[in-house]
Amino acid sequence: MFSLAAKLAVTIAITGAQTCDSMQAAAVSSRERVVWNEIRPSIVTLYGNGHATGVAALIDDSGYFVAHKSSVAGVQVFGTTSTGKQLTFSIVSKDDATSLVLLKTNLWPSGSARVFRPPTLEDMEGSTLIAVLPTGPMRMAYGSKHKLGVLSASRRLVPLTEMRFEASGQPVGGALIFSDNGELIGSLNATLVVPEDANQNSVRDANQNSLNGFGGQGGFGGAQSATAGGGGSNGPGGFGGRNQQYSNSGPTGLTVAYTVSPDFVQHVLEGFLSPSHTVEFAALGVFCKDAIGGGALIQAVTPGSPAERSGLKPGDILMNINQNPIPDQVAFAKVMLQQKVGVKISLIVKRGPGQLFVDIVPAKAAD
Amino acid sequence: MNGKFEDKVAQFAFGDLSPEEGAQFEREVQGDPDAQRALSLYKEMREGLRSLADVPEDQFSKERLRDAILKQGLKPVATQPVSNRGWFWMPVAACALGFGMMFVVNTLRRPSAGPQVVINAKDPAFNIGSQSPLKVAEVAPHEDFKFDPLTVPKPLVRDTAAEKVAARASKNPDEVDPRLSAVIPGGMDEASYDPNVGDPPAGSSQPSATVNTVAVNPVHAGTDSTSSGPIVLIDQDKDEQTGACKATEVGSSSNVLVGG
Repeated sequence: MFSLAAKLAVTIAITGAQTCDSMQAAAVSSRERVVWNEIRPSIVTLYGNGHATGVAALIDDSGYFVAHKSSVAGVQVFGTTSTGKQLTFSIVSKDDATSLVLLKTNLWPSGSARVFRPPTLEDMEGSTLIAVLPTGPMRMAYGSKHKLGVLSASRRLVPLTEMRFEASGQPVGGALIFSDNGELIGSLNATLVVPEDANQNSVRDANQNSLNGFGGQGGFGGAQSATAGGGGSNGPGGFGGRNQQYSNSGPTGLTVAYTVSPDFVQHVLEGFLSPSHTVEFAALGVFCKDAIGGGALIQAVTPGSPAERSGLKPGDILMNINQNPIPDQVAFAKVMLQQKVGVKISLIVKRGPGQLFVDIVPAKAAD
Repeated sequence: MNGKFEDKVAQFAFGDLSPEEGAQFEREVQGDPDAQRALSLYKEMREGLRSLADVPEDQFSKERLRDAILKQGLKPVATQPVSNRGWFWMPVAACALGFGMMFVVNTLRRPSAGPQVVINAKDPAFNIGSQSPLKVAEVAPHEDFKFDPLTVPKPLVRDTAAEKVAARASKNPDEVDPRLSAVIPGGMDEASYDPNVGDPPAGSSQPSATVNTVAVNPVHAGTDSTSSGPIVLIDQDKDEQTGACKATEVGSSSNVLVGG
């Protein structure tokens, strides 16, 4: 139950959000507006401390929603639907790799809106994405799903989807990303920051483009010209003054952003909807670098991990996992993404001049 | 001819029958060709056995040999006349000596800086054992060697001394060899080690030394390696303008620490 103060804060926030919603929605094309209208009933705006903090998307008709963790403050979360219905949520589970949080409400009217399914694995090259913020939808351009990222905290490898969008001047972190066919792709996890020297080159290139007649305003967020600016490599686009971000495919002012790849999100959503509502990734408890001559050189072993119990030590080189050759540490992490917790795997490890054959049972990766 | 009659043939042939029995048996066998053939066979056998009487007694048994020696006593051995075939072996020995000297001279004239025979003891075609004096060095196979400017290239020729050190270290991992203490795993020197990129999370055991200091035969020469590709490092810090985590892209992932 809402308190009177909370109701007042939410009402004020809803009013403000709806104003921004209409303004933001004007920055998408008619095609994206249709998609937005289709998915809007399945999206709930979240609130905290009297203002909108993010959005949540329905993934199960029994009232399970998913949101970015930055959209959630506190144990209990408040939200409102597109029709103005107020909901309360509890946090059920979370996944640090994707920064997604599973929310549950008991007030959701079953069958009132479509349910977002895990994304398909089709290549979306050249397609348009829709980032949904508390202020409404924003248009993005799909870049690539073949990027790889490493999370600084856990050193976990995550496949990424790269996106580009025109700098809007408002915070976009934690926005939920949807494809132009209405699938939930993920959440906006990170934006690319380029080193100072590259930034200067970017500004210089932008000035050069301006001299050549490519420096016009507008483009990406507008109507038809935005398509060329967003997805193309040499189309006109705005130099919006956000020269701390950079673009490697078009004029400056485009921000490069990342979300985890669709198959990764699919794994997370399946874990959320499992009976335990938990997401598991298999891990051995080692940290590796590229080894000269091939293999993943173990730099450190987590105490108490399966790797330590199996006798793996720093200096060992992982050469093969379940018949999969390991040319480097990235390949090792990729292979580990395919493994399951509790299922034994076989390793070939190079130690000094000899080789070891080790059977090991991966455990759940720590968050 | 039955067995009993054959025995009688043998007795007749060897003279074991009385004259009366012999005369009677001789009359019996005159009309029997098989009996005559057997009789002639036994008679030939008798003549052969009789020739054995010419064999010296000392050749029949050791006892007889001993008795013969004791009976005859030690007599001076008669000197044998010198063989007149000695002249044949002398030129053969001379030729052999000449060939031998030519071989020695050619061996001494061979230049010492010439190509050496390199034998890989692990090659089954060379079954000469690991202690062969012909083994000069073990040379690693010349597979594609990928040079990484961030790493220190390893020598292709195996360093047996370092190998012994590594083997000793692998037997006792707790014993740190001072020659290994300054080596960063992965072959990087300390100058190229970027702690910001490669620091493992706190709580993980750090390597104090490594046994991976020996040049080993490359399994994958880097043709299918993905380490040269760019990789995005996602920081926990947030960008003030976008509100999302900061991401930086590095050109090569070879120096990036990855957990799993």
